[in-house]
Amino acid sequence: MKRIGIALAAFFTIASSLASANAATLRVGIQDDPDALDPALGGTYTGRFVFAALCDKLVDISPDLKIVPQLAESWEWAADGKSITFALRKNVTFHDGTAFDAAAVKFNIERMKTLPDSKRKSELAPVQSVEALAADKVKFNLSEPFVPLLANLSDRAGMMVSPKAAMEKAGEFAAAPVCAGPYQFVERKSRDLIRVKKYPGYWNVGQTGYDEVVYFYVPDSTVRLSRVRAGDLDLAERVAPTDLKTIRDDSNLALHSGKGLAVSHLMFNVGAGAKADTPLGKNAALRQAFELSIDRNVINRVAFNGEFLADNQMIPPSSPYYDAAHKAPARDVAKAKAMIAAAGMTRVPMELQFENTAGDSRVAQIIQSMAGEAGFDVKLLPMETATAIERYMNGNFEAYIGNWSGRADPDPTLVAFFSCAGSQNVNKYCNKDLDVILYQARAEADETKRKALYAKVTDVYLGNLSSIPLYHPNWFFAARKSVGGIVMVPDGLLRLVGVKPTN
Amino acid sequence: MKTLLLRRLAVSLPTLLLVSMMVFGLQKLLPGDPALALAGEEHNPEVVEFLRQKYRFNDPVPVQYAIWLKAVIQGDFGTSVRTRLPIGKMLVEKLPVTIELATLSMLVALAIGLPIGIFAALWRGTPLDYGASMFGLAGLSIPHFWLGIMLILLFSVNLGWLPAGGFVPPSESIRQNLLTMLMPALVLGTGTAAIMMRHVRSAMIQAMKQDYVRTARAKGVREGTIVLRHALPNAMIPVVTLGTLQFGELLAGAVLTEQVFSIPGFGKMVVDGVFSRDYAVVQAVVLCTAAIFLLMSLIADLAYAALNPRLRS
Repeated sequence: MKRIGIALAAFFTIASSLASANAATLRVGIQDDPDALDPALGGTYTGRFVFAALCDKLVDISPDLKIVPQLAESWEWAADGKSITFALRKNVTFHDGTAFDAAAVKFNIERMKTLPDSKRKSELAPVQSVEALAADKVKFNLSEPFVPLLANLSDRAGMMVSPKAAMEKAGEFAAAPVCAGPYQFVERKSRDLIRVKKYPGYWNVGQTGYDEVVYFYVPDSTVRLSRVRAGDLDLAERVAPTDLKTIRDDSNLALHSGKGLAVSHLMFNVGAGAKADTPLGKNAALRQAFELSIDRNVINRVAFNGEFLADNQMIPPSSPYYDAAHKAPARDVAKAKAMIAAAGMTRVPMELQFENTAGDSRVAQIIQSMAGEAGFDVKLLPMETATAIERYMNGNFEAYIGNWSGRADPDPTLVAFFSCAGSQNVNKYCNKDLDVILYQARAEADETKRKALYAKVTDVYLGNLSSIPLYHPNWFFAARKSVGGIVMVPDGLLRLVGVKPTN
Repeated sequence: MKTLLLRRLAVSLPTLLLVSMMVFGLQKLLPGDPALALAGEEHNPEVVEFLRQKYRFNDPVPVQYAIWLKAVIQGDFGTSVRTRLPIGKMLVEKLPVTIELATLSMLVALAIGLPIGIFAALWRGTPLDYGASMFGLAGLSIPHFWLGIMLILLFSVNLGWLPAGGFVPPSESIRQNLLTMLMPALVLGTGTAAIMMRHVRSAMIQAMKQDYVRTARAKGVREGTIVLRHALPNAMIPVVTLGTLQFGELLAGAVLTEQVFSIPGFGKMVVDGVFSRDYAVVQAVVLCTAAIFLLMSLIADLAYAALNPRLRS
């Protein structure tokens, strides 16, 4: 009996060591500890980064920002643009084994719309009702034609969670989410790691390259990179632009870079309370002079080693709706001075608020020094993040360096910042004519016509300059060469389908 | 001894209460709206209002405090508003990590600081003493952050001997656990060792001047015995005070070291809690740390009594 026991023990030891020899783990370093892991509640980039492994969406975006199928195989707009019907992928199951079907889609959209603290309400606002036409056919009825809906469904609003799990676990769902992505949730140690494992029932399981993925919280970007260099991690997201040379010089590492959607811009308070009552707040010509006094390329070179993209628009050049006709003006200090003189001034005072992060602080100092040469006396006001957000939302600033994560479609960005009632229009810029074009554009299904409308929008906001876009950050991942199949997408999320060990 | 314990416990409770009240009140003085910080990039006003109601941000501060206190007394630390994870579980996960790191750092500090301090005192004014002073100065002035990154570059990136960071629970692998803790313990330990060394040196110099040392010498006791049996225990009193306080400090979390080595301890948890206005998390960690400090000072008192018979009565 004892011998059998020993033999069995030996067998299991060998079997388990064989299994662990074959088990491939991808170790990823992420910069922040994600917030709630529930697509209805999540609000952080790193949360989305982890969702990319856990939760498939109805549709996805491609590297060139086209909408491509994921859980929905195809879709068709109604002629009046007021409804859209999705044909769903068949034989898809959630991680708890329950079926993904039209009823599940209906449940999910209604959940995102009705959960009191859902952060997806604005994204799904035009959706009035969802009808399950058949098990694999679902129709969204809209209150108005709303083309950007598809782009919204390519992010958290389109992530499908198991209705059974969501109902049973209710408030605790975020602690152990159940979705329909390539990997399923195993454990989360707060501020330490999130572990997910291969979901054998995934509809595209042939493309799942690892048995397990572990996301480690490593806040410092230098340390994240060091750990990839040491072989402790396989991939680090968001490495600093100043570290790119190290990655390029290391034969064990591969640098994955991609254009982003985000934009950093200098917002002027033009209409919110007393702080709008400044020379720059009242006079668009002075704001144009301000733009001429700065050199975006210098900002990019000095603050970011020239690795980001200096640009003058809210929409990144990677978008099909980017307006190539509006180039960034070259720096012209003499002209800026002349414009200040024309406004009857010699020195223009201004207070610039920003979050006290390394990047924004550098940008603010560079702006201060360049604008100073033209006659702008820029006073810097760094703020801790939560305080900065509160002041920002209340329009309590003269000028503010805003960092917007961007969206796959131009509509959410442009409406949020430039429509009179926009959710981010905290500097209170309002132009009723611009509103008309913006709402026309969101209803226009034809891409060429839509593009022409956004060209008009660009012309208006760049003329008024209630906000001066400065640059678009790029995405940089450092990975071991042994990680193959990484494709960079402008949303900066690591899609794991097709990511495999190379050996 | 028993009365000492009871007396200390009786003082501890009101102290804890006072600390929690102060931290609660101070947090509420911070600018910034937690509901806005939570509502995400879109800041939907409906959601912001709901969050204010849900987490009772609109209630008067004393009411909020009373609700919090009642829950804590019942053993419920609440849920992190940011991650929606139970805070009690977070504490249970972090506490052993923090205790292990603090203990290992303290061992490093003692192993370096104690002998060097003693030798520097015995060989005052010799090159050894100057060398020790230099070590002390270096240990105090080299930033932990920088030292940590240098160690990672040397031992993990270039030599590949040690893991660059992270935390492996001892239940998974004791060897891996110790390997990951080695560099952070060294970084924290050298800083503490430097302070320890200075204190041991001056306390030893004092002790060696005492009458009982002269008497022992006159009796012909060996120098080694004089140092270890007679002088050292008396020199240890300030060292114990310092050691327990330093240990408490290490337990309160070493933000930068935790950050460099990505160790899931208390330090970064409380800092991030403050930044995201996750009040319940900050409260829980502060309460925990305060309790640890009180415990440490109790241990210090007991240690004095053990070292000095005159304090036992």
